[in-house]
Amino acid sequence: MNENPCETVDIAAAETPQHDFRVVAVGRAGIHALGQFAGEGALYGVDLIAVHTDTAALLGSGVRFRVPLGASGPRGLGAGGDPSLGEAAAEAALGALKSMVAGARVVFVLTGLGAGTGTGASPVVARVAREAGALVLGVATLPFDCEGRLRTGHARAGMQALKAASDAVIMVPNQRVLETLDSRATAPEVFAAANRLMVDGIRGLWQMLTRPGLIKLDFANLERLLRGRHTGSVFAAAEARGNHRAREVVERLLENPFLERDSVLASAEAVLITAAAGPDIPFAEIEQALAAVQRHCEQAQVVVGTSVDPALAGRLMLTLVAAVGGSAPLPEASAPATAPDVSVGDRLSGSGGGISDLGLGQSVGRSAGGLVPPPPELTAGQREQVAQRSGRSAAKRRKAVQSTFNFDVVSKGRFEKTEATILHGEDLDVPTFLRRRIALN
Amino acid sequence: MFDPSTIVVGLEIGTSKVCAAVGEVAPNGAFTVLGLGQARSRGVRKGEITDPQKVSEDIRHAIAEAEQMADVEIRSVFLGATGAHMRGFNNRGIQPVVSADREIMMEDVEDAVRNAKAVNLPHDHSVIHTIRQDFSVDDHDGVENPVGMVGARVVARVHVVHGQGNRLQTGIRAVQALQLSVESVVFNGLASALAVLNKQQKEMGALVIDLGAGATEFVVYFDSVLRHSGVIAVGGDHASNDIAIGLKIPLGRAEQLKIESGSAEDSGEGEGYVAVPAEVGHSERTIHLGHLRRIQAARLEETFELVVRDVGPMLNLCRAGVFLTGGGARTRQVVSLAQRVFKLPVTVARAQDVSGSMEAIDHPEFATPIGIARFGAMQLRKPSPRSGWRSALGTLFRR
Repeated sequence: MNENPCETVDIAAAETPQHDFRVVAVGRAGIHALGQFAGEGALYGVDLIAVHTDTAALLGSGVRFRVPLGASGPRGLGAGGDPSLGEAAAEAALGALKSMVAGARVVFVLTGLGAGTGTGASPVVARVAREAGALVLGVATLPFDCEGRLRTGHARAGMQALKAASDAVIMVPNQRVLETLDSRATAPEVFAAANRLMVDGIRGLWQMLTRPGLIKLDFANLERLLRGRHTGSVFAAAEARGNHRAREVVERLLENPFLERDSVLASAEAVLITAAAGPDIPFAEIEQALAAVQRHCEQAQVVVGTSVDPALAGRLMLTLVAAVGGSAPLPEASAPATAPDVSVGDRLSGSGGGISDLGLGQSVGRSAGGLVPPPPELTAGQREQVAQRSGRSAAKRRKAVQSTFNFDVVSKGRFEKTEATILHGEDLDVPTFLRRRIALN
Repeated sequence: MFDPSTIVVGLEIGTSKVCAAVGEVAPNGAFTVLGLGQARSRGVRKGEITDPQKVSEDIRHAIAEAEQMADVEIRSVFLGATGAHMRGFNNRGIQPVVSADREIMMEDVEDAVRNAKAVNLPHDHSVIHTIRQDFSVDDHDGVENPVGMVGARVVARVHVVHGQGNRLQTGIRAVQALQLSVESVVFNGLASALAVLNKQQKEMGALVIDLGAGATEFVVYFDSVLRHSGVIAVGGDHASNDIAIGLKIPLGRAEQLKIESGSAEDSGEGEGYVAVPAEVGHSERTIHLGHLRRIQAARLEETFELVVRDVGPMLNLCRAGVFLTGGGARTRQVVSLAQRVFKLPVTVARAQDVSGSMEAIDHPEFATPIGIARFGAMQLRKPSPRSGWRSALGTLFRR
């Protein structure tokens, strides 16, 4: 493809990943989660790929495949919390990204939204992977409420972009992870818990897809469930051993904060469950566990699979993917479909057929948006210009943000001296009409 | 005149008013409201006490009025509590059944509930309610009372409501300063639900929202069990404050205008202007009603949206709909706004299954004190589940 300075940076691995199943971590949060993955012993048949604008962090990650971004723009020092820099840097490294996802069947894009690289670059990575023909599943953390409105806003925009570019996106709102933890949990514990949720889910899906199955659920099932549905998807995995494993595995699964105490399952449209068990587990127990989960899926079409894995001796493991219609955690922006790319358009229209074949029905309230036109082919020189231009416009935007910050100092009237009521990053004591900028004339 | 044990008093220290409800429990369990007393509240912001001395005075007035109306002497009250510090969540407790024949005994059930209560709260919080939802025996879910069943393991599901201990103590002290004893503290949202929901509605699933002046409490019931509770420290006071800021008028005027001409929908009947007469420091002005309503509607809509966000997918299970109580439920067109936001049938609720003076029962803002008294009545009727013979003897000796 195009000659690109990034490809020649010496830390980019010379070889390219070969496996069907790839996990691409974008930005600092993604790489941290990937570190947890690697620390637990790599999965066989999964390539781990790290993408970051911060060269030092990339080198420290210990991941085999690495794509440094923004050698020309941020010069390997990170994106400084500016998503447009992250995006420009990723666009500039398209060639390297393409070679990393070429030939993959499933690509996980693991990232943390809210800061620069993850927010800006992850939609680009997802788009590239999707154009390469892979099923793209985004897994992204959302910032804590206390991280402020700027980051929440970035995360919201990034989520829309990532949703539009991937087949399914699974959100891990850090705030919710925090709420489910003990209030005495320390900061490393909280982050570790969020990472653990992401990693367990990915591991479970990998097992679902790679183990020999008795009732086999394969890539096609997953694809039918997720492809083209830009709705909230949820995954969860749990494992148990011992005498009560059939019951405990279900309980642990339902404790997963993504399932919001099973109310997500109750409203899910389609649910895919697989049970992986050691060869010594009686089938009755597998059946019992699957039936118990199914009881919680009131309205959903349920697809079930089981597999046997000698490595799981004495253990029972459940993995669940649920497609939830229309109840995304944050309101969906109306992204108008412009210049639909043919392959993506085919996927969307095909998904209706594929899903109704399964009897899954159309997803309700799915946003019509979701098509991103591919970026125009640029020469290296033009790309440089684009990167610089977006850098400039970002600087302009930063100024605009500052001025609104000053503008936001408003009276709270009688609540001036009371304890502030801060919820979801907004000070509720400030009049609603001011926060929502409702004009009075 | 009455046997004092059958009189229960609910006291709500609200942001706009302090209100005491005197109820009488008949031996068959029927609940009658004998009297209500209220006083304007001066020492409370956002549901939390900011001036205990003023609060004590206000309580004295409310209690005196209630005593006079009900013709009883009040010695103890059940006290309502609210505020941003209060939280509710669901928890489970697991207890293996150890007896040889695997029959589940009362002790096993109590231990399971105790395990469910043993939660890691922030160190300064204390538990106010532990409400049993249901039990599982082995794989059998939805067991109402597992005593006598046979199984290997009992799982108790409970809803725990907790709050910051010191802030709760402030309220209790303010009452005790008047030589009244506090029997128990009750979460206001739970009390409102107890007052306005009947059995069928609890079973079908209902969301009760108490639109108070300082805070908005909400609880979700379905399958006859409390499933969710929460508080948002935003209420009618915020709407008045928004109006005062937006229209640049004094707060008292804003409050009055809100009550006289406010509405929860900014479109609709009664467009026009109202005059605000001159006051010291303010010249006479005319105000566009549309502006007033837009400000108020924005605040109410946001409050409802926050409730939707907090309740989450459980909203789909509220088949009986949404029940609004509290002073905010008297806002014009609040039902149509709530229907638009919740997409469920919405009712302005009043106390149910209660007899007494209609004047008291009919107003949504009295649902909370009546509910608190009702909670007290339930406590009297069924001895607390913890009380074995030992603690029963203990209370006997203490008397």
